[in-house]
Amino acid sequence: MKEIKFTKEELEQVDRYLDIKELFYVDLRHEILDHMLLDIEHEMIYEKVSFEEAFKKSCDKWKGSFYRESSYWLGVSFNGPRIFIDKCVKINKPFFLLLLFSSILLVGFGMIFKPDVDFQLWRYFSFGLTPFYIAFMLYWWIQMKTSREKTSFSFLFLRYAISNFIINSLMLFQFYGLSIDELDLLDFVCLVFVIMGLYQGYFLYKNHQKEVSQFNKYKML
Amino acid sequence: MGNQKLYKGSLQTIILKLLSENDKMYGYEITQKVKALTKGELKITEGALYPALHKLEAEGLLDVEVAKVDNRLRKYYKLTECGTKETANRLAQLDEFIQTMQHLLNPKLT
Repeated sequence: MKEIKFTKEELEQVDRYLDIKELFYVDLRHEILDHMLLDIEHEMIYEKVSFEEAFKKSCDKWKGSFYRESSYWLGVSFNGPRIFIDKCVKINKPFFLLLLFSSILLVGFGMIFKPDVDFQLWRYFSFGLTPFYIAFMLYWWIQMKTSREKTSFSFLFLRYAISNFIINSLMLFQFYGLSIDELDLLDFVCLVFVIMGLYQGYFLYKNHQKEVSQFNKYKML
Repeated sequence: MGNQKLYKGSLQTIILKLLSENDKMYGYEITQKVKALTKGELKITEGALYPALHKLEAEGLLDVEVAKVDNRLRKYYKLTECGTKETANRLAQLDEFIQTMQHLLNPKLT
């Protein structure tokens, strides 16, 4: 295929279009930018149209993916480009479902079988977990907040980190105030929430770092 | 093409199959390859392709690799080990589905 050399202005025009559509997340932005440029190139070579015309055609193709949308899975108060919301839902949905089903199963199991749980052991475990939870969450939060590149993973972490952190910390600290007799299975579910929160935080942080390091290898001109 | 809806349910399997035959591919390449293989009968839209790719990636079936091409960044998708196994499963399921449909719609052939 004959090669098209885009001018700086043309590249900026496509880049600006993605800015207007609020597609700031590197894991999506670069692949869409590349796709659009390839599409424009194809149109200019085979359909013999101008850049402007090819660009307009490409924008029309992507229009549906950039419609602003919200999702119950992420909270309806937030909306963004459909393609971004869709990706975030795909990342976050398994965590919600895992948390929901593990909580239901644990409470159900406890109510039906009434197992003889060693609350003292579990109390020690939650005490040991507290500093690790706070330290890791704060470290990941600082790392992602100060990262120059945004990803879908950092968006999800930063959007939910503070609320999750406050709720989970309160859950952990309530164990300090309760006597052994006051603990019940519902408190155990709270502990599951904290462990899941830690796992989710690690997952989002790890993937954010992976995406950013891949893109940082090649700095755009 | 009027039968685009029929292909919709098989989009992920189509992507997995293409990636099993090509070491790694990028989004635009997948759309063009499908268009060429089906002689224009099936056109994968951007709005369908990327959600499917992101779903497969979230499920751990695809891995991504970034490379610099023509002074811009290109994101390649490739199958993970788990993805290779899943491709075989899904192709077997699709084959079974096609055979069942043949039994239903064209019993004389069997």
